[in-house]
Amino acid sequence: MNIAFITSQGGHSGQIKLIFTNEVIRNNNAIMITERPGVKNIVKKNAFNGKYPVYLFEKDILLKLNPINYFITLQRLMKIFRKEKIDLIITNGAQISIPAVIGAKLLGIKSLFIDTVIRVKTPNWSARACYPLADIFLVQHPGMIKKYGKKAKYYGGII
Amino acid sequence: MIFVAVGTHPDQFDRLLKKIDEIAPAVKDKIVIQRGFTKYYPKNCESFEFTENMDEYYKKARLVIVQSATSLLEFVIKYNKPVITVPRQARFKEHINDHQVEFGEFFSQKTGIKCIINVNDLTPDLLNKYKKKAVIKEDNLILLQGYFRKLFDNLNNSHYPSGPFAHNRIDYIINLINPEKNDKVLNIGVSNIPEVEIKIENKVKKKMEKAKIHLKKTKLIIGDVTKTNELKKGYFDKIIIIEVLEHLKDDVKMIKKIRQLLKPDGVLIVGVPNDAFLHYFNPVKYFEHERHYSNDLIKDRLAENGFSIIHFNLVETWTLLSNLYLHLLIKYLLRINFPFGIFKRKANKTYNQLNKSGMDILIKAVKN
Repeated sequence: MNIAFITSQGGHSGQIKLIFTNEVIRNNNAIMITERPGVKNIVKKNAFNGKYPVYLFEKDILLKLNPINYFITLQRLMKIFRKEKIDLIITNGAQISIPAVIGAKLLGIKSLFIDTVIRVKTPNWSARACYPLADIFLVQHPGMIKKYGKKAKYYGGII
Repeated sequence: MIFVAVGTHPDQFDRLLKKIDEIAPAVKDKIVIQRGFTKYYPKNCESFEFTENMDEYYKKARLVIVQSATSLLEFVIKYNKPVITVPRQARFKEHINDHQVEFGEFFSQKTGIKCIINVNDLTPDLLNKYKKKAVIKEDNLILLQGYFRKLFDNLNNSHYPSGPFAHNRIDYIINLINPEKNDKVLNIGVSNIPEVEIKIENKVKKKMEKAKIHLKKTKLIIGDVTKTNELKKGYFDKIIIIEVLEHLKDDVKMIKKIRQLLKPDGVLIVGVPNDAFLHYFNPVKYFEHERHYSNDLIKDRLAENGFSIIHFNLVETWTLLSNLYLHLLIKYLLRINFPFGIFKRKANKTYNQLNKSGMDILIKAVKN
């Protein structure tokens, strides 16, 4: 099975790396899609978990809340999905997850959203946007189920 | 050594750096700071902007001061060392909102490490004496990882090909056939335009060659079923004929021929499009179909020619047709070959239940 992990740079991709070690992914193929880090000195092209390929997006495209920019990223994401024959996408929030979930819905790919661990009391903006579209919606604190709705489920978290 | 890390967030965090710089002369240990995008340059201690190997500094450090974000978690899970967190706050324009304060307080309650909201609480005394380590149980992480392992296994075991137009149909038909060892099964396909026929032949041959690696006992016969001598009479246990009858000029002749080919008590699986309301919009219907079947017509045709129906079901309401229309619209307007799969999951659901209406008829019948 081909899995795509789609997160923005920083803490979000850090959480994905904590959960999805090589022992969890095992025989499946995986790719990582993130934003290009805004740091000039370092160009992070290291493979995800040391062996899976990484696609990088320009950060500026997503930072502005412009529908045209969203459309461009949506188109690019869908091209990657079709090229890599993705069966399941896993996102962990921030802006890039919204076009990713819409693209998966259009192509009939299964989508999964995990909320961040950092939010303990207040719901997340991007999680709210993805809630109606994602097929599986996970939450990392049991108290957060009430904040989102019936679809949200708790199967454990990083802490 | 005391290591202070600010992370890669684009906003300034000079509130912390100024304070650390202030108290640095009174602290016994050497202080190293990772500045990030913060423009304040500390004078009393060593500092740098970014590195690729933060782990080296984490290993060397006696005490680590970090913002309360994922980097705190990463550090705590990897190293068993004293930590202090200082959350970024929105009112100092250090972040968009106050989620770091929320998480910092939650984490300090759970593990007992110090979370500093007011920077003036950072004193040389505290840094010199501080030895509190964060201990977290990894039970929840193991639970979550276990859930994902199960999920991946379940998805791997369902053997549908990925793609927008794949659905439960294949599984449903296999369940209807209920194949057993040494069964002889015939699958009848269709093509009625001579030029296309040659192309299809080549495609089918290539596919069969690939499939032969797995299925050594399959044989491909090209020709008219009603005329060839290659098929023995009374030889087959099961015959599948799906989306074919509506293309033929004489369907009664075909059904009679199938009856001859089957063994006594042989099983026939028939699939034809239903002549329901939405199907009048289907463009394929007018170009390629010879006749339109309704529930009663196909039942009567089979009953008249010596079959009794065991199982009758209608599947797919409007889901796959709307996918097809979207696909055709995009294809002819924009010249992009884009397969839509929006309603795939709804179509899948219809195969698991008995429906009163639907676009596709699937029938299992037995020779009388």
